[in-house]
Amino acid sequence: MYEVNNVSKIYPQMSIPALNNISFSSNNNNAIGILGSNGAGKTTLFMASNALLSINSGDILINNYSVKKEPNKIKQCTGLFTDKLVLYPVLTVKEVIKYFLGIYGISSKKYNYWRDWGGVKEFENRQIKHLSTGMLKKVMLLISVISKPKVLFLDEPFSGLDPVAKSDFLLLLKSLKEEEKIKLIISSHDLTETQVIVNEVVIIEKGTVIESGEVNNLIKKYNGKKMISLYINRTPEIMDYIHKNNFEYKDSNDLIIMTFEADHLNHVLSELGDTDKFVDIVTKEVSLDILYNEVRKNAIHNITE
Amino acid sequence: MQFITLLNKEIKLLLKNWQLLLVSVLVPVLTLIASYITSETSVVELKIGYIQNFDSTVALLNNGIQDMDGIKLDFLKFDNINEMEQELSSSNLDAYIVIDNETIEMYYNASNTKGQSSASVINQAVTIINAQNLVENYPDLVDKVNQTQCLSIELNKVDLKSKSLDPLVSFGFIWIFLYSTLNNSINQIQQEKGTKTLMYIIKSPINKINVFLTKQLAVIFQFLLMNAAYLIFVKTVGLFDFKITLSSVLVWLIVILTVSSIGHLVGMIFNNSGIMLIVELVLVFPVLMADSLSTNLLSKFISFFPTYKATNLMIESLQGEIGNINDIIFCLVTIFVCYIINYSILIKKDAVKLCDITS
Repeated sequence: MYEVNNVSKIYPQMSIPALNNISFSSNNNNAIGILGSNGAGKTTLFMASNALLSINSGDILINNYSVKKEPNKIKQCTGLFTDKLVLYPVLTVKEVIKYFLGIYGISSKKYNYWRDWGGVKEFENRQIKHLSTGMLKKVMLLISVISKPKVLFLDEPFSGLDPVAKSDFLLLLKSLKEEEKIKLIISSHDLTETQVIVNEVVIIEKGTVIESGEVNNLIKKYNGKKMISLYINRTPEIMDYIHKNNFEYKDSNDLIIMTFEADHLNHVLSELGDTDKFVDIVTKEVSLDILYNEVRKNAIHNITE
Repeated sequence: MQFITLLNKEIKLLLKNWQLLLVSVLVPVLTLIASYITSETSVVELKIGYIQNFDSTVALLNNGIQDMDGIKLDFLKFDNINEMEQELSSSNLDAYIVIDNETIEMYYNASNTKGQSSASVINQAVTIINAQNLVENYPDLVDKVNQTQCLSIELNKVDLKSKSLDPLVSFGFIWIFLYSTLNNSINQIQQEKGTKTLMYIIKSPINKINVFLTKQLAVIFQFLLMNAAYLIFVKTVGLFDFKITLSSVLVWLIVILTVSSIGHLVGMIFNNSGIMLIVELVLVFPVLMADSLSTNLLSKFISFFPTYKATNLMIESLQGEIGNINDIIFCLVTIFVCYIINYSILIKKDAVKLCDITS
């Protein structure tokens, strides 16, 4: 469904390639996270995948359409959400949505459906320049999916959003993934939110893919483990136990927060004995940001070796 | 449907920027008003001092100049010559006269035109008075003088309403049709680039020619609005009379399409606003100067500018003429070439480069 084959892109003004012979593929409906630091090549990849930027070599296939040979087909089956889009400041939300419906040849009767889906009814008569970041992003998402693309590229969808807006946005993305069956490809620095949606990741650094695959497999590969945080009342015996076993811990008033691998939980509980001391137990999944940092560390380590 | 959608959006954007429309009409109107207020009036007032007790001579002089159009002599009485000298030196008087028997001694400021005009007018008045006296008292002599003349002249007044456009009025038309149209056309493209909506237009299945066509229709609509307002103003204040004919409307369409095509081309090629401003100035300013100054040298230099040819066609159409057929063909070719280039850029150039997006 989405294949990147030996793609390179060199900008004339840059000494190093923006994309350096990258290859990866995803042939199912999994949502993909494209991770990388600033300037890694994520936006370049997105633009090239939407046939909006030419590539120097290689090819990108989306639903078996080639970006090089069939750019018009690519443009029809992909959608693009980019935070670089500003829209027309003096037009209202309603006018903008109807405009995009019109240019895609969709009847304006569909306006109500999309307005309600995007949750923009309460500000549909407001001018674009008077929208908050969260409102604007909802409108931008609407515009990117109005044409019912098969694959939707989202470049920094969560940037500038407060937690509530992020949560709303995530719900919309989930709806696109599960109900509309649109393949999502997300590039974001907000890894916590990205982790909720994506099943696969591709990690790019300086135009090169340093890792790709399903999230769970990569966690296993990089020895990612579940961790337990145990909240326990401070006593001298507890402190002795912690120091003796070299557990990580944090002080929080009269509480101690012990952190250790989930595999050791039963052993710790049996050794500590009296459960009255325990206040809370929290399980931490291995997060995407930990995985990302591990992969990058590994890549840098391999380079220096 | 897509055509209507595009056109609808362009008209809405235009009307929501009503301040721009207003400025486009106000600038030439205010320029006209300011120019007419500060320009010299057609009637010249001359202040001439004289010593009292010579009222009868002054009355005679006034009679002598009564047929001179555009001249008004203001004779001011003074008590003594010293006062008049002081007033002349401080330019409160243009000249003064001292009458001794039947001789008029006139003192005038030779360094300014009003002083020189005073001398000329008084001299003419005296000549006329003397000629009248000669005719009354010596009719035989008059016949003999007429017979010996080697040249005679008969002056006939012809009162014609000028068809040609006042440069100040034409400035307004040029401002509206050339500068405003060019500027707005460039801005139409720049706005699409700046908001990155051009990327979405490129992604969409719409016919790319319609993108430019709808923008031009909006510009034509805007031009007709502004032009109507300006024409009504100049006709109401009596500065210029005109007749709108089918041929003049067709010429207007051609020139507007020419200018807006060039504007779209400039907007498509350049991303840097500084360079675009320079290009605008190069295309507009020499044409404004050539028209205002009516200089042949500058006109020859810019004769190949499409904006100059379009301006000529516009001015000629306002004066009731169709214009040079070669200029019309030149404009049509310009429109065609601009369309071809704009369309090619839109479909061939990377949308990312077009919208100046950096990764």
